[in-house]
Amino acid sequence: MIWKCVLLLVVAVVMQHCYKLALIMGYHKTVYAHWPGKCHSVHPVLQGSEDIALSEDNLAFISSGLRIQVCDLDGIDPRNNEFVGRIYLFDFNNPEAGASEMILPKGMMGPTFNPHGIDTWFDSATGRVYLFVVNHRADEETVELFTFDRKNSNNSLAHVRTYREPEFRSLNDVLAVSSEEFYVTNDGYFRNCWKTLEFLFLLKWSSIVHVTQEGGGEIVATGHALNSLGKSSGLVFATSPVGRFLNVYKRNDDGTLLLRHSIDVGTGIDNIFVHPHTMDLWFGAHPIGHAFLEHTTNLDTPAPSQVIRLHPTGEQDDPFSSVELFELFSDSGKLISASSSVAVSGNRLLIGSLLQKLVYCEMTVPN
Amino acid sequence: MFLKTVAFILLAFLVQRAWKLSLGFGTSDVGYINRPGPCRNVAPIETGSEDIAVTSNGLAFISSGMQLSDMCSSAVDARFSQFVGRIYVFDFQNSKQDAVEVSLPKELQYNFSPHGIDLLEDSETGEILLFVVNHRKIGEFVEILSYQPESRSLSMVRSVTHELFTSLNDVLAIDRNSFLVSNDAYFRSCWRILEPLLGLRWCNFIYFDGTVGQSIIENGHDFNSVALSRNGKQVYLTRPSEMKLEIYNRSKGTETLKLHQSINVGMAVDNVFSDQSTGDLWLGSHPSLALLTKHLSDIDLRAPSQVIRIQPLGPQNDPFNTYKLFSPFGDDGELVSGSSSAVHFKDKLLIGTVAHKVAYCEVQS
Repeated sequence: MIWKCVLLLVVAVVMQHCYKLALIMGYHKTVYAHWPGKCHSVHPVLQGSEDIALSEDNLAFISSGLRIQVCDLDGIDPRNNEFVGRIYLFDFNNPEAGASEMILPKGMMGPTFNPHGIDTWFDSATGRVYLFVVNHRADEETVELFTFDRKNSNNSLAHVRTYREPEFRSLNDVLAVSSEEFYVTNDGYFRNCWKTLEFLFLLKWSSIVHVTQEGGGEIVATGHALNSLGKSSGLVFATSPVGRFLNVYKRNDDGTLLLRHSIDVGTGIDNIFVHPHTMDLWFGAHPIGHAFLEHTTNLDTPAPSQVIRLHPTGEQDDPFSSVELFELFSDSGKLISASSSVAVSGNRLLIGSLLQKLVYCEMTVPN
Repeated sequence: MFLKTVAFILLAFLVQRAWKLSLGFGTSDVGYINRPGPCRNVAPIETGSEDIAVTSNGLAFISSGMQLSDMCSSAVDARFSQFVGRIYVFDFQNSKQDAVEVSLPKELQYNFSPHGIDLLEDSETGEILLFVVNHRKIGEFVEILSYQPESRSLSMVRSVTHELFTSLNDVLAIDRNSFLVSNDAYFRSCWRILEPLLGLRWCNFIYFDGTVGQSIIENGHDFNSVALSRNGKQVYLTRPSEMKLEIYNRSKGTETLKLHQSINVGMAVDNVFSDQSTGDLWLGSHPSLALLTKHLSDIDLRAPSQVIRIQPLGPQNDPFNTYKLFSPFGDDGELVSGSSSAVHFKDKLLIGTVAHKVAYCEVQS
């Protein structure tokens, strides 16, 4: 009798879990098209524009060529293994010029350079831009630090330092706090075939690592599939595309984080862009989970794309206690597939994708 | 053994009903705000704008104040019984003006709970005839009214009721005396909840030719809104719980309908508007039927709104053979809750709701 009860309980738990996964996969969802204005692809980006970081003077740094395979059984489209890691530069002040490929230092090539999340830090004293880049080297996870000198650079990046920490397990995004201090996400515990199990069982083994000037990394938060990081006035944000939520943390003086809110956003939000003037959060997002996965196994299969803006409406001491969510862009995947990032300057939008193009839009609607 | 089989079949049936219902109920509580341009409410409408019909000159007639309390009062907000049925007129070509209430004929005062609405324009005389579904206390009626623009009033032309009118929803005018009308349920009382729960197919779609009423589609459920294609050869019918828009080929005269195509819109669609200039279909839709149901039980609870546009991409004789789905408008329920209708006129949009306000938007993208 007791075995029948246990069996029934196990079946109920499994069914409930399968239902959760089915919702994440989004088989029930339909995507409707709308653009905020005229949109077009930005030449010559074709192998992804996974993350975008905007500097003070409206220069967008774009990481491209991410090779995502972590397991032979992944089924990732083999063409992705041939992608070349690059950093592009796009100038919002001169959008007609397209994106220009930056010259990387020797050594940042081939299997050594596989860029993912990026962030910029502006040193107002020297006028120098620091660029932090998550790098999936062939056999280790690192964060590379580059500098860019707008005046004397001829579009090249100078390499400053490679960060290696034992806490770097499966890096995704980086958040600069100064030229020597940053946070980084591990989107899982494993960076191999075991990662699939982390996803299937919805495990909360991803983490946020704080790396300080003194050196060394410290895990300051854990959760389910934490992905991208952003910050704004004493708060740190983390997205979870699989969990479809945004975590809002209070940042303590010692760099540790305290979770204040976990906001259901209803869609697979990927990289965060914190608007420098309005403090709203913008996201590239993946509305349909199974379509995203199918796109990674075959680059010719379109995956829908979406851009979301989150506007905090709470009181001044707790602005994210209530929020409004806006959808600025939605596409079936024909214009751009698997939108993972976004940057905003004035009424212009730059949308990046995981493995594909880069799109520029003029926003003629209220945004 | 027999009992186990019966229990198993019952369980399988319940699971199938739950799954089918849950999809239409919407599995996301989030209503994204999405504007095609500047949007605002249109005063003074606050108690619903369930359906909207537009003349070729951009004069929009809005049915308002439907009292859902006759439809299972225990399930809906008590305030519905205080709603007053009205017809408003809004001029797209004079959009800065508020909507204006149109006076009703004496027979309909205190006897008016309007639902679906359609109109006929007489190209020679300029007369505007309104066809309005009215849930009178004594039964289901289609009122045929003539609009007098100078006095902004409606005069009664004819009132039609029929034993086949069980729970009317929307009407499509064919000529001065005849129309098509949909039943969205068999029961008009609380028993109506059983119909979707058990998958009962007791609804029909009716043609009234001026004298005789007959079912032209039988054994269905949840027939909601009806509209006509530009060339009059196709009839569009929405099915909210199945999240579908059905396209029927129409034989003019006999008004026989044959199902040609079913478009899965992926959301609980309500009223359909056939744009005569472009052939596009505009749908007021409900991203979450669960939240809509909560909103109807307490009007202060917001229900997300969305407008879907279906653009035909096929050849002239089969325009929706291929199509594209757009969403030009979305709201979290603050501007408009429970969007049931959307009409488009020269780059402007008017969005109506079951029990809330009306939104007017300029379409800029």
